[in-house]
Amino acid sequence: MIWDTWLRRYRWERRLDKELRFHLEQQIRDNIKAGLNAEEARAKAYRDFGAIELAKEECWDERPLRWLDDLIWDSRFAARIFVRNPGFAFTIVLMLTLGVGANTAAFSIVYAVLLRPLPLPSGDRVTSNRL
Amino acid sequence: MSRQEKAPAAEAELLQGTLDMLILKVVALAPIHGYGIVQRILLISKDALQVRQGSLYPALYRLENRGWLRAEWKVTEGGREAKFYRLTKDGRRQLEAETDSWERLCAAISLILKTAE
Repeated sequence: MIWDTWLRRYRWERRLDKELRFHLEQQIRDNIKAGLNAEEARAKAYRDFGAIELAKEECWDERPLRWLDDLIWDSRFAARIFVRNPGFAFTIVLMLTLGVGANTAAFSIVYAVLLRPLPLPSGDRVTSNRL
Repeated sequence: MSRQEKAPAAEAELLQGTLDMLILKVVALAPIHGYGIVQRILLISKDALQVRQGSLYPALYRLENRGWLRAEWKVTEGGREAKFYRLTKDGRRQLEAETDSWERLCAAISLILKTAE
């Protein structure tokens, strides 16, 4: 299934390459018509186009559901790292457990002591008064 | 050759967001490939607007993904295969909406600029 993704991107990129190559060849042809020699025409076409790889990358970024694709790639990457380095994975899980646990405990106490109304009639109207 | 000297200044004035509108307009005239769009815009604007080619193709892909353009490979008069873009119904509606709001914006701005001091 990973090959499927690769193949899809490969085909997509081939089509984009073909499109851009057409563009550049037309530009070179017109530059030659305008009186440049072959080498200058080619150099000018590439220079005027700007960063081709960047443009390709930006085209790829425009496709819909890109976030879903990115999510899948990131998850795969994370899974690989965890499998390769279980100690690291264990540490992360432990840290998250402790962090979430400590937060939950702290909030439970604050809620019970400070936020929840006291179990009295109109408990929400009872306030503390420091004299 | 004067085109090269003028280009950077004109480029800076091509406001953000107007590229999509110009592409839609040019494609609305007739199905056309990416290189043709650059040339058309240059020609119609009398060499004043040089589309940055690096941002043309991402814009085309964006408009295609939004369903405003449809692309297909066709053979050109020169016998080469090229990707031609044409406007969809949604694209035409989008073009009308963008043209309207652009004209309103221009009218408002020129009102302000022409206010007597």
